Amino acid sequence: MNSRVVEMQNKYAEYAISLIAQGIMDDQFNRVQNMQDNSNPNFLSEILSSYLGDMPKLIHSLALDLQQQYVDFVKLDKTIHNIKGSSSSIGAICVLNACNAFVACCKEQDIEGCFKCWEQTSNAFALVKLKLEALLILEQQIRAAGGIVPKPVGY
Amino acid sequence: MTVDSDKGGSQLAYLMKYWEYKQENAARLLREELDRLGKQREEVELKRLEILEEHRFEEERVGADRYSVSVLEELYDSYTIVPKKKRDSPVESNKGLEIDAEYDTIVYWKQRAVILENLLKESRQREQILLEKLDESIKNMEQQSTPVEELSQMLKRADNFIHFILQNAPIVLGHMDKELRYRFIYNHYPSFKEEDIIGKTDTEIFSGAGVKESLNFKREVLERGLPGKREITFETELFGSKTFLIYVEPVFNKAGETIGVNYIGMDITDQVRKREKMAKLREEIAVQKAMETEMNKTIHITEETMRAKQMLATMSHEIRSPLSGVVSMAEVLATTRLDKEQRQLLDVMISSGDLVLQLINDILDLSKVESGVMRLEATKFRPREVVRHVLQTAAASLKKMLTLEGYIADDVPIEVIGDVLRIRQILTNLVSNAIKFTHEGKVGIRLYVVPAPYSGEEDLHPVERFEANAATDEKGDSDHPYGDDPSEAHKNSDESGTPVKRGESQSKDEDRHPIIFPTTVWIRCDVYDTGIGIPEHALPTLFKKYMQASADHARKYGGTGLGLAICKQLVELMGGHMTLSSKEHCGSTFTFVLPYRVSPESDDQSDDPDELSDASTHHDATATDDHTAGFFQFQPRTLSSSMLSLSGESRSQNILQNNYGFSMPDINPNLASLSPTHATPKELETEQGSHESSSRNSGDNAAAEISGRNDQYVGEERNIGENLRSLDMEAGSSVSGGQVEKTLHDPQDEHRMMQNRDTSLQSTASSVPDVQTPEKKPKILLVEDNKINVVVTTSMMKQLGHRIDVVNNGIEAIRAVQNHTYDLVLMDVCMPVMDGLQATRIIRSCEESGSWDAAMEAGIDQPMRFQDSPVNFHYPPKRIPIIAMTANALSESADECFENGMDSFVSKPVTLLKLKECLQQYLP
Repeated sequence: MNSRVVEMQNKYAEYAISLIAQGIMDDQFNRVQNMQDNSNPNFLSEILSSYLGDMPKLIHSLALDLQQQYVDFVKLDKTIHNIKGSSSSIGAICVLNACNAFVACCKEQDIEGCFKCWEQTSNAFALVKLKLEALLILEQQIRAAGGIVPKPVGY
Repeated sequence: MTVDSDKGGSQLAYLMKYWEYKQENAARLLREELDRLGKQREEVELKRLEILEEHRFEEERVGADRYSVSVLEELYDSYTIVPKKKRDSPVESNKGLEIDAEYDTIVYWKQRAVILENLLKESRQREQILLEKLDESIKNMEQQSTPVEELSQMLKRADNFIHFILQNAPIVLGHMDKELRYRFIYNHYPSFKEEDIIGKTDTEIFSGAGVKESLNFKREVLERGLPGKREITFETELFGSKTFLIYVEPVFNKAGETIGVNYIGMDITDQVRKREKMAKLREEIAVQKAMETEMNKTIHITEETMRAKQMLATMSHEIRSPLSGVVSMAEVLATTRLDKEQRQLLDVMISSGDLVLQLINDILDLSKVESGVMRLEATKFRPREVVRHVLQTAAASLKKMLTLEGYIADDVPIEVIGDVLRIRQILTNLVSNAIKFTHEGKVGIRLYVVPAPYSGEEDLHPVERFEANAATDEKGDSDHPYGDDPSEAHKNSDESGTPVKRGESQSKDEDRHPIIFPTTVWIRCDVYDTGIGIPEHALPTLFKKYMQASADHARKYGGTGLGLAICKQLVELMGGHMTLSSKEHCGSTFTFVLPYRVSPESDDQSDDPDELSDASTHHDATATDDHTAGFFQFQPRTLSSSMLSLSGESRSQNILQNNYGFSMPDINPNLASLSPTHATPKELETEQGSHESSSRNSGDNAAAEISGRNDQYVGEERNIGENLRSLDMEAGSSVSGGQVEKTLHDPQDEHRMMQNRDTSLQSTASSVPDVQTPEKKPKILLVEDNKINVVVTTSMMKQLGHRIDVVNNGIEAIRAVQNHTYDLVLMDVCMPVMDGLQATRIIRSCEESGSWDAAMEAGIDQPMRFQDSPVNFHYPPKRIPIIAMTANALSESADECFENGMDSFVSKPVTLLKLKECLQQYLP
């Protein structure tokens, strides 16, 4: 096998692990990676792109809702719930954590806190986006070079 | 007194007049009486005259028989006057008629004379009596009241009246003479006897605040001769604190000279108190109102500011996301085959994009620092490694012939505690800045401990000499043509996001020990260069936002003008300060001093990710021991060979390195083998093999299934969930057509596919449960609005060997249950249109009652006829297990799930294991 492909595969695996080691992603991410198989060869890239495409809209809508004169906390909570759902599904633990704090703030109707949490959520997502996009590019390169995207073991 | 004073005089005069008037009145009465009497007498005389006349007529008649000649009449009249007086009242004369003697006889005349005489006598007697009476009355009159008596009576009455009025009046009346000594005082509640007051002045009577003032006031009135009112507050031992309204009027003597003052005082203490209270209240209200408006203003401004900042942050964020997309895509494009011109254009595109990205990141950073959102983290770190790493990173992307060096004094602790991310950000920023403006020579970082708190003045340091030497030493080096490279700056600012650094901070967070005796050490950090320097006039504005040394520089070197502002703000946020010194054409030195805590236990710290990269760079560092190394140097020559140990010659490698912090030097070839890599070469080989073999199945994926399933529903869904559906169509449209039939794929195909996977994916197949006989597959419905959750759950179920139907909300779920028999429903709780709880309630009520009335009540139309559903109304024969999927949002809890008729719940994120357990429990 092409040594460059192996190199990239190593890099990919290491990068994927580093995401989890850094607390950006969690175990669920490993599971999601594992769901990609021959019957679903584009699973990872599709689900991640879908996630990365959806989230900015949701985060933006959160920001809009927060800027209302009378903040509708129930609506806010629903949107956060949505974000939480997606993030937990792909294993974006840092977004999930930020969302949990956000939900707590919503419960207490703490607008100030909500602003902070929004910031955290949006930052967390920005980080996740950065990382996942890098990973996806790497994946693409591996595929382009004819390699197979490595998967975590044990899931 | 009344005699002396002018007023008294007038009063007396008035009384006198009054008396005189009364006397006059009496005299008038007497005179009237006299008049009356006189009149009576006249009448009497008149009567007598008449009588006489009668007689004369009689005489005439007797004597002449003729009416007398008129000429003589008057004579006659006058003649008769005298004797008339002697005659008496006519009454008597009338008596003459009663004489019974014969008329005109001597007897008759005699008798008549006697009677008249008697009458006269009587008349005289009466006159006498009247005269006596007159005398008497005159005498009486004289005996009546003297003026003195009258006066005193009147005075007494006035006195009584005044007493009556003044009885309870809270008034003090007084009169004082020229020397302001009391001559008279009326005080209803006297605290002194009159003797104590009369003849004394105020000051002699009592003392205290206000006494002098009242005396002065009286004196003023005395002098000016005009009355006046004044409020005076007394504070005396005598009656405590009291306020009096005092009226003082001057008293003049007849000559118009003031001889004293009248004084009226009224106690108005209570009124004054009330008034003052009112005033105070009014004042307070006014103050409160002012404060309120001020507060409102402040709140308004704060809100506005917050909103503006949030808006900025949102905007920046919103710009950042699509822009990073553009840049990423451009970079992907760069990996493809391009001709030279295309590549050049793309490079410009990427570098421009990077620049804007950096600007936005900077704005976000700055607004974070300014709004106080930025939180500092306290993590343990090794300053030497940070310096080395920063230089190493800078060296990796260095395109100039520069020497990068780091010098750390021996007294700098091996480990300190601070926010390493921010410190790194500052260092990186400064170093990249230095590199940007330096064309030859060196850029360096120097750390040493300074006493706290450091004054911040730039002092002469040996480095200056050192720098000068360095500059001369390197003079021969060629001038590098690269003036500006935005990607360079970008890379450095992005530093904070690199995985390596995150890793470090994370691991340090975990390793944070409870610090027992933290001491503070102030470390000064110089970042020096031998660059173009900064003209003196530009120094003051250098740290300001969006300011650059000059427009020329901005054009030549680019940059956002935010970097230094951020550095300075960050340094100040951490409790330090930042200064700079520079000499044009010789170089600049940026200095910042920061306090760090020192942890006492700083021996073993081997998990720092920085160390992982040591292996690749050991031969660059002059010192061999990293823990204590005091000097690092990165020579330009060593760049390409050793810095980029993995350096792919292609652009793509560089892109990753630059934009995603996938820093190559940190990835050690050794690391891959050491770390738990999942894809061992053998596995990879098999995987690759299977990849080829299974490529024909590539169309079959989760998204296709969703879209396929949704296609079935499209016809019936016109009224609800249009938008949701369209969202799913979007997802569906991302895959090529012709996959719809896949949802109705024959079991054999599925089976074959399973087998395929089983053979090709040994590593993951272990989790696949024993596949049930394809003909009797349980039907599962997933109710979930979140696209990603749908994809994940669907693929997991697929791995478990189940195909599932997907709907997006409660109403669709009810419809699905109406039309199909499901063995299991996985129901999300939080959904638009109709949530999972309500949907479950309706399904349950239907199961109990056997009719869909509840569903119709909820506004769900009659179910449509489906091709694969023979009956129009499908009555669920048994209780469908409904399993909630919750993420513990505000509006959902396990209790609620059970209350609404759900059987169990699976917490999100859904995993294979959870699903497997769930299926085992609820599927036969």
